[in-house]
Amino acid sequence: MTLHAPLFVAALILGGGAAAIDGVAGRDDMTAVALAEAIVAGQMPRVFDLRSHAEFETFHIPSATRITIGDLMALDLPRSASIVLYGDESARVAQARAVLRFRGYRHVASLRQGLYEWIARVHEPALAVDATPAEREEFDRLAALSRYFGGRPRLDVPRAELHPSVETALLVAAIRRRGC
Amino acid sequence: MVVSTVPALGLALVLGMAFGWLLERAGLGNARKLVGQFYLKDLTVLEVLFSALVTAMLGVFWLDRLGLLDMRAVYLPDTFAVPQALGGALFGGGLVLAGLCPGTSCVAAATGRADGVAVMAGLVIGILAFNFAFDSLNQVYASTPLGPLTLPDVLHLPAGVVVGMVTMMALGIFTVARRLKRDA
Repeated sequence: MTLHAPLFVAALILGGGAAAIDGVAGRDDMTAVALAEAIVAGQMPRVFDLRSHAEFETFHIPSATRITIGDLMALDLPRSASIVLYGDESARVAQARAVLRFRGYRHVASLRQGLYEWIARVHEPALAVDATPAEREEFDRLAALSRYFGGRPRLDVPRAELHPSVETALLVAAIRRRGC
Repeated sequence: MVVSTVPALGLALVLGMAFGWLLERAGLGNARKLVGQFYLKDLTVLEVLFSALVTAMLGVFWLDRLGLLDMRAVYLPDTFAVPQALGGALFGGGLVLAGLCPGTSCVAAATGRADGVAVMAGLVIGILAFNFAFDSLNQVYASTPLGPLTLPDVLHLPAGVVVGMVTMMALGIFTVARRLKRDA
């Protein structure tokens, strides 16, 4: 295989560019469990929900505030504030993240996999019916977090149903809405 | 976007055939070429697969950053440290012994190579044996669950920095591989 100079340069630019934009901006995603633990620990990151009013009313992460990208343009927080964003379209979240970074906010993260991971891991963590001791230990940790936020840990779930689809997870969360 | 089952299977077939064709064009249906990797005599496997990995990684990263790809729709498989390490060792041992991996064995078989057919037969036997023994293997299979881990999670670095590091590593390896080939 020959080394193609244009491809080499393209990879160099794209890889270097990726490192540059994230290296300057800092870590850009946060897991649902990390966010839940931060809230429980009293660190209180500012959580912003970029979805519609109706979707927000149906279900949202405790402590989240609904906001639009227009509102973010006028947001007035200390530039060192820790901010977590989530929404139903990754494009909108990326746009919101870009707006905040442009305005000088240094610690802006998006919630990894949006609400899906929050529902699957924090709101309704599941324990497989044939769980191993290690899985049970992990479940106990997540279940404690879940109860803190008014969630509903699920026990004895068939292993094939441990990971609900995004649509199912959101639907389930809407039906079982509680404490938020 | 959610693709229903029949179109998804059709798409998988097309992608699978394209993948097989590319493997064949890269010469990876040849067991000698694959085994050459382990003796550091032929780095084609590393070049082809690392090129594919870096292309996919850069594509996913930038499509996400440009808002063109919904990362929530990308399934992240869970990490199970011990069973995956055992599986990796077993897979590597089998690859050295047979000179082919599952994908390249299909390519070799499709081009009429007997060793490809033999490896595919072994593959099917292995799958059946694993499934029949699954109940007794389940404790190991489901042990050490770490969730959907990624390199940025493990290294506590921003995704873009990891993308940059892996890209630079790949380009460095490609340069070394080219020099080795030139000196050979």
